[in-house]
Amino acid sequence: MRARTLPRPPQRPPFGLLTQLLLALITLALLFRFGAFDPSVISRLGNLPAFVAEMLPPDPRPMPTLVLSMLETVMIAFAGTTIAVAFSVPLALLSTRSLFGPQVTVPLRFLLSAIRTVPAIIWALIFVVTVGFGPLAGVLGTAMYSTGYLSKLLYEAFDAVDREVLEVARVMRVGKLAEMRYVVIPEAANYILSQSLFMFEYNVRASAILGLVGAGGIGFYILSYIQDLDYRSLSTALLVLLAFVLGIDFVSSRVRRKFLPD
Amino acid sequence: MQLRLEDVWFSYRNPVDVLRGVNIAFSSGEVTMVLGRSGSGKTTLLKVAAGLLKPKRGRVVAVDDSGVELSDPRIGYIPQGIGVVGNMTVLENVLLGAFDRSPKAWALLGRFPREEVERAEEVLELLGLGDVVWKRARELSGGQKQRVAIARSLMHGSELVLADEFVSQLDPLTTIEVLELVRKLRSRGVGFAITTHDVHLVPRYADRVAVLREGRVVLEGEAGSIAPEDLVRAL
Repeated sequence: MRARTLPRPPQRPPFGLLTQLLLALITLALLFRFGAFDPSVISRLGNLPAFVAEMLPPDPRPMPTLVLSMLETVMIAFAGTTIAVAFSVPLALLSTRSLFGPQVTVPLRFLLSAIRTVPAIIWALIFVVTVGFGPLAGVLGTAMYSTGYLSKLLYEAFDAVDREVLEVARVMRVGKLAEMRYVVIPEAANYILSQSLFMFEYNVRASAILGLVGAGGIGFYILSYIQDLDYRSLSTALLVLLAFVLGIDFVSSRVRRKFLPD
Repeated sequence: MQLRLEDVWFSYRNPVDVLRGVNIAFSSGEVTMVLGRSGSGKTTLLKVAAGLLKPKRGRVVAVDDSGVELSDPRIGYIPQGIGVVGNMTVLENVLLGAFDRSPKAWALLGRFPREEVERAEEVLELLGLGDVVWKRARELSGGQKQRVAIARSLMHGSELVLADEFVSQLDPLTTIEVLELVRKLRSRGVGFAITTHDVHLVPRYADRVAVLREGRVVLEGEAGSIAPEDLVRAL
């Protein structure tokens, strides 16, 4: 029998037992480095029940104020996300490799990456300095960060649009704008909707902390309660936040079910 | 109209030539079937003919009936995956074929001239799709999608439709339905170049046939003059 060299199997993601062990070891080493196994840290874990006890029962008195400020948070997230979608779709189209050459896509992708590098809270801080305290800074900060993030999600979806459909349009010589309008956007429409909803849900959670830098919403109260050691009001604020987030998740899952195929 | 490939050579990034000196012509009013095994270069041949790939050597030229070169030939292309936009309605898919004749700004907003919409509806009626005009293309059967793709090419005014593995994924009855439609359109002057590996379709539906093997045309002629056994042997 003649010996035969078998072709190499395709590369698989490196999730073998050895890799998992290695990752676990690295994580343990990092925890050790950060003092997680220090006896004083372990003894301080006993503070947790005391802290939780101070948060209970939640104080109902600030509830009306908190609900209003949470509504403001939701409005900040909504306006920020809507602005981001409006900017992200054209920016993502211009960053799509199947539509434009590297002279357009590379600088744009770099710009979007730079925008993403700055966290939402820093963008909010920049806009607090630029436009002053209040929800407008929150909206602009959320919009800025979300544009960087959403554009990336969308240009990856646009790149994955079936080339054959684009080729049909190219043979008919309809031009770039028609390729975008009649091929790329409709083909990726479900993805645009689902990622925009995801971004909105994410922004509701993210906007909750924008108040820490004075950009409006419930974050302002959360920061005040922490500074004043008013943990019972803090737990009320967290419950309001939880209720809103669950409500929004419920609504967006209904929207998804209505508009997106299984 | 005739689309001629003259001594066409093509290779992707690797040094192996996928097409090697191909000479072939596709004419309007005629059905040409290009036979070949998987990997023989059929898809590449159609892509080069459609202008999607640039030949390494040789040229692709369209001429009118008197032999004059055409700068803007009306060619339609139907890829293996059919290439309809699943999230758009059947009518929108077909109206894309009228885009270059319509006012651009309005067409981009989804508004087409009334006469174009009426024409699209007529074409869809002709192809038996009158009752699915408002359905999303993704909801259609394979045979219906093929007909939408043909309708789009007709709407574009294509005199020649290049169809890659056109009926390979259809069941036998739907294949017959679609190819009968192709015959009907041929009698109206539309030409088809169809790649396939099904020899049995040739005698009934092709006017001309060519066999592609390893990037070369090894047999070509009128479909009626070549016996199916010779086609099989040439594959």
